[in-house]
Amino acid sequence: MSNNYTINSIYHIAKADFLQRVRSNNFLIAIGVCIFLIYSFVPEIGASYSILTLGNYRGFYNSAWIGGMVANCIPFFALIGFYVVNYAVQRDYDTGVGQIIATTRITKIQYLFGKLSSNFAVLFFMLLVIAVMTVVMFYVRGETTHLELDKLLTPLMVLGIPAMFIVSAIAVFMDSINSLGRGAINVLYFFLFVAFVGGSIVNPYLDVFSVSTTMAEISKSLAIIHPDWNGNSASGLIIRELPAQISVFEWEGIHWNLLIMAPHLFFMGNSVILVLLAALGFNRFDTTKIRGQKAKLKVARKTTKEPRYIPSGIKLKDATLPKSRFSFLAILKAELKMMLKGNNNLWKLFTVVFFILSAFTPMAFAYKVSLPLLWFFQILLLSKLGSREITTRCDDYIFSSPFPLLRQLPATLAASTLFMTILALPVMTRLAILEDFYGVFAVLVGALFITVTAITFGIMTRGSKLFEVLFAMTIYASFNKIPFLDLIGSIEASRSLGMVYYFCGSSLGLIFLAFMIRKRQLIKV
Amino acid sequence: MEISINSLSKKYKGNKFGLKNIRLELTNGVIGLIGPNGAGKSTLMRVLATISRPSKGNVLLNGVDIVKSPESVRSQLGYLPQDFGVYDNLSAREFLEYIAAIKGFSGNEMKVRIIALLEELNLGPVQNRAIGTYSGGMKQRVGIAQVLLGDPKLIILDEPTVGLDPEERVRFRNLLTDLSGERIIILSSHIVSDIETIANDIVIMRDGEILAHDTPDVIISSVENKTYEAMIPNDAFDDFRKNYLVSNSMRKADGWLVRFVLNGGKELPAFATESIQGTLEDAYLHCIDISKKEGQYV
Repeated sequence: MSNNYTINSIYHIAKADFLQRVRSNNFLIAIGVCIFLIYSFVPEIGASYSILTLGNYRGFYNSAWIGGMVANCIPFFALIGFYVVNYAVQRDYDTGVGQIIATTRITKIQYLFGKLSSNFAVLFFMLLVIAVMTVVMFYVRGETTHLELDKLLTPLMVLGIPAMFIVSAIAVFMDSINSLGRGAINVLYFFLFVAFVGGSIVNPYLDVFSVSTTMAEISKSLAIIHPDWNGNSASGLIIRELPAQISVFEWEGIHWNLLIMAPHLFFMGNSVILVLLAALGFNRFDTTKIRGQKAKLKVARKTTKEPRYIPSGIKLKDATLPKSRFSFLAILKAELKMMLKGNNNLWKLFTVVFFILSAFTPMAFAYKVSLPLLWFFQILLLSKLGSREITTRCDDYIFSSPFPLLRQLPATLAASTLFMTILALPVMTRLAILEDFYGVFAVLVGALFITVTAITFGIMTRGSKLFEVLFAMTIYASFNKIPFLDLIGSIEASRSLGMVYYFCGSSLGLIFLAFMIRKRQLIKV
Repeated sequence: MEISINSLSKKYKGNKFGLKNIRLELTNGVIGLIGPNGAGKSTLMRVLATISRPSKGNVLLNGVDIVKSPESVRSQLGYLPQDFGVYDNLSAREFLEYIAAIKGFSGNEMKVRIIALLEELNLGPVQNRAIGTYSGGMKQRVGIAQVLLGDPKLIILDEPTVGLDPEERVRFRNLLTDLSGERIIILSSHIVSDIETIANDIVIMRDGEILAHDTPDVIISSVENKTYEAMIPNDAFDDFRKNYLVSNSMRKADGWLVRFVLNGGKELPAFATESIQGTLEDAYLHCIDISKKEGQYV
């Protein structure tokens, strides 16, 4: 096979995949989220929160400092990025394009490298948008107009490119293991991400996603410029009262050397190996090799062989015609059954384990860790709720049934909220025993807010990605004690800010929005 | 039950029309819609199924405008879209129970009807298996079953026989024959023979307009004494196809046995020909050919 063919095939797989994704509404929304993050992550001078906290010091808002603040947020982009680019291989399964590709001369390695390239192209494009927004933020928030592009953008690009490449490779690897299933991919990546973030704090050589690189460089410079600095530092969105006296220091940026870059380059190189490994296990769209499919076929064969089916003998023309009598309970039961059917064993295991953990582990752990994780495991179940009818092409006949807006949508909403509330019952009961009724209310509102967000974003985008991205980010943010995204009132700062009332109000607003958009979807103009 | 379609148009972006000033009066029975791809059959069905809003005109169901009051028809409607999906993780029985609940049916009577439907559509033995394991034809039958869940007085079936094997097609046709009575059944199909055997009313469409609307006999009569069969030598076959409206051809040892419709004032070919009974397919091709030649539509 010629080199030309190899390069050409990789290029065309990457190009088609890239165009397919960047032309979707989901991509535009992801870009919107990134722009919003950059806006938030470069706070106003004197804002009640900070991104880089250095005791009584803050950096002078020059190119280097703003660039540093943006680079410090690369982990967030790495988290979002995965949920933006995952399912690239899965999509070829779903659309059937994979089977066409499988009949061509293209090898597994070429195909997966094509997907790696398209994943990376999408994330690189995202980085470019972030870079443009960083320049905008320099002019919006900067304390000087003297723009030094290299200091402003080099941290983002030099640290961001390896991170995005690694994310692209992980996505290809997980996506190619078809038996993993979408839910497992989402959850596994989240834990892998959290593990790397945690690991980088312990060991800087594990700093795959540039969690501590920028902060370490800033701390080093500050310690030299101001030896009196007490060494207190923190990164991430932190709510705080401004110190009475805050000193400003001028940071000149990262002094790049091989030692800083070594872990990033090391993991980047390993990403290539990861994709090669993925090629070994990739089944090249042979659906008979899919574990789930095998299981289904096994069941199917078993049923087909079963000679015991005895026809009821009821003739359609003799059957009594059913009377139309709408029962909300019947549709609620049907919705619950549909929501819970077909989820894999891994989901069942995690759900049961974390449900038990939320009942029997110390309260702080149950409230702050078990419950958020238990809910997070439902990500795939929730994310398809709003778009299920359209993605499965059942919309035409479901939307032409009587009163779809007043029957089916409320039932979906009620069933999912009920399920999320049931999952939270152990924590809610324990909060009630402790007479923390604010907490009980907050958890209830959290269950409602999450389901409403899932349904509304699903209806709005006709897909599941936006919710998956935002939900993963929210759970990560809550572990980072960011009060604005504490959905269950487990952080003191969120209680004092009264976040539960905002979520309550937002839920009502989102319900209204969901109904409005669905109403438009029912009849195509 | 009566449907009156008045001056119905559907205009898309770029001044393209899906439907152009359609007028139709439909009464109880089976109405077959036929036409080439892009004729507007699915668009018309979607408007009748209340999931697409026309740009102009109205549709009256027993005097009530369903464009303004879609709910007036939804409780009496069974609709099978052309391109539809199912929930793969549910079994056929669970899926039908779900759709029944959405349509406002529940209770034991509904359960019995679901069993009867599944058996009628030959899905009884697999009713508890996940739909994801079904073949395309079986999924199509699940789609047909959901149409018949209640007792719909208006049934709209867009290409219902796609994916069905010959045996299932016959079964489906028999089912429709049993169902026809005090209801309107509208179905479209590219398989003209399916329409010919079921429908008592035919509508031929092209480019969003109605070319013909009549009973099958009247439509077929348009090719009376115009349908022939001839044996064409191999070397003359290509030329013959260019000059005559061929509705069927079959390769034989000494050439091609061709069925053709004589239209546009053409003379009979020099080969030995035999006049034969026209079919709906001949009439349909004749009708479409005339509309093209008359330059009726661009």
